[in-house]
Amino acid sequence: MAEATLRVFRGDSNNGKTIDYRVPVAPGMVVLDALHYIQGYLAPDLAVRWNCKAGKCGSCSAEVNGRPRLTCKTRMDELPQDQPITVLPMKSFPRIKDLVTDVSWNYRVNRKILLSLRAPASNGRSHSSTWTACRSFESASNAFSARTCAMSFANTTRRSSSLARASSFESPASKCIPSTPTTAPAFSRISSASVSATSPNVVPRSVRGDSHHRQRHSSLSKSAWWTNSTIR
Amino acid sequence: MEVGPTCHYMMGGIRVDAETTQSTILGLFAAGEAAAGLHGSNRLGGNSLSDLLVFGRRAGLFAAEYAKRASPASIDSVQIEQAEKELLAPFSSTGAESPYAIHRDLQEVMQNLVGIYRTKEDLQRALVELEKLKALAAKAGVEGSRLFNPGWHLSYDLRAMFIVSEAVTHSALARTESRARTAASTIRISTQSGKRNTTSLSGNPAP
Repeated sequence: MAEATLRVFRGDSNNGKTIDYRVPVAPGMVVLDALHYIQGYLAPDLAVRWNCKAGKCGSCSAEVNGRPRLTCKTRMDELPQDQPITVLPMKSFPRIKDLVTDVSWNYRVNRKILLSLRAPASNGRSHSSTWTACRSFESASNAFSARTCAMSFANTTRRSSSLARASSFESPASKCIPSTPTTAPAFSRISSASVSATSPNVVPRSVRGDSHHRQRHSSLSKSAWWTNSTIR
Repeated sequence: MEVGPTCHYMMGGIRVDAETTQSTILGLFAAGEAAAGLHGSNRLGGNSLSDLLVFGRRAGLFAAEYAKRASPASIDSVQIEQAEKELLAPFSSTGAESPYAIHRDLQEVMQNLVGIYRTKEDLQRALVELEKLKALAAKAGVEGSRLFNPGWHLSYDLRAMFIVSEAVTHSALARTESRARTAASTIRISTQSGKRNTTSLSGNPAP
């Protein structure tokens, strides 16, 4: 069986370094499977969050080869196998341990979105329509998943005025990441990684085909800090 | 692509009162997949979502009502110390097997011996295997710190997995051989004649 090397960050909020693990690669395997192999056979204390394994929840986000990805939707055969695959925690969120980051910011924002759904919309009309409320919630949850890109919330004003308020929340990315301008091609690559790479049936309806409504965010730092074997 | 049967929903669970979702332990409420009895022996697709909406609401309502009326629970420090000791034991287990290895063995036993098609011989062998694995699990060791340590969490979850595995196996044995008698061992099977559900009680049953 083919093997791959995963170069995984091991450490806590203060110290850490990457460690290489050899993992057998099976057909159809995704990076999250490889992480689970490491957990099951090589490092039982490897901290990694995951939940749905279906590209919906965003829990398993990590930076794979320097790009924010959902590890459950990142196939091993997409990645070059002749060099180590780097798997690092999302740098837009504070590290807790290994690949697990503090995502409490998401929950705070989520709460604000739910509150704003109950409040009247900025145009004075209340969200009396269940349909509107549902679509707003759907957009909110999609935006939540899109945290993988560490982008700010989608510019969904066309759909929902309540989300316009949500999009004005300050992203932790703007606090934690040195603001480096990103080129448009790089952005579109990342965007496809977290959204379009999912199979058509799991791409959220309101995301499909309107990625131009997403605001670009300055989180995609070009600094190659992950190339250091020790991260401070 | 691998195609095969897999376990993706637990039809069994904690026995609860249908109206309040309270279990036989006062103040313990369960709904959804954690609770038993709603779906019979085969859940139809989509029904677990309506289960959550209906019984999740009841659980919330009655748990809130219970909390309003209940007096503060007394805490037994001896129990707390005992629980703490049990939780931390895997850290001092040296050279023991990883909880993940035991987990894999447990999955294999349950898949091979307590799967879709069951025989009495397989089920009895499963009980023997479960005992062996339980002995291994009791000595399972973990490495690393207490900070977000999945291996440590699994060593604790294994205990619940063994309870469920044993309940499933004993229930399966009880269904094919005898539906209304008590099985030996610490798990007691009680079935009411004419009823479809099988209930397992662990520990020392009340006389």
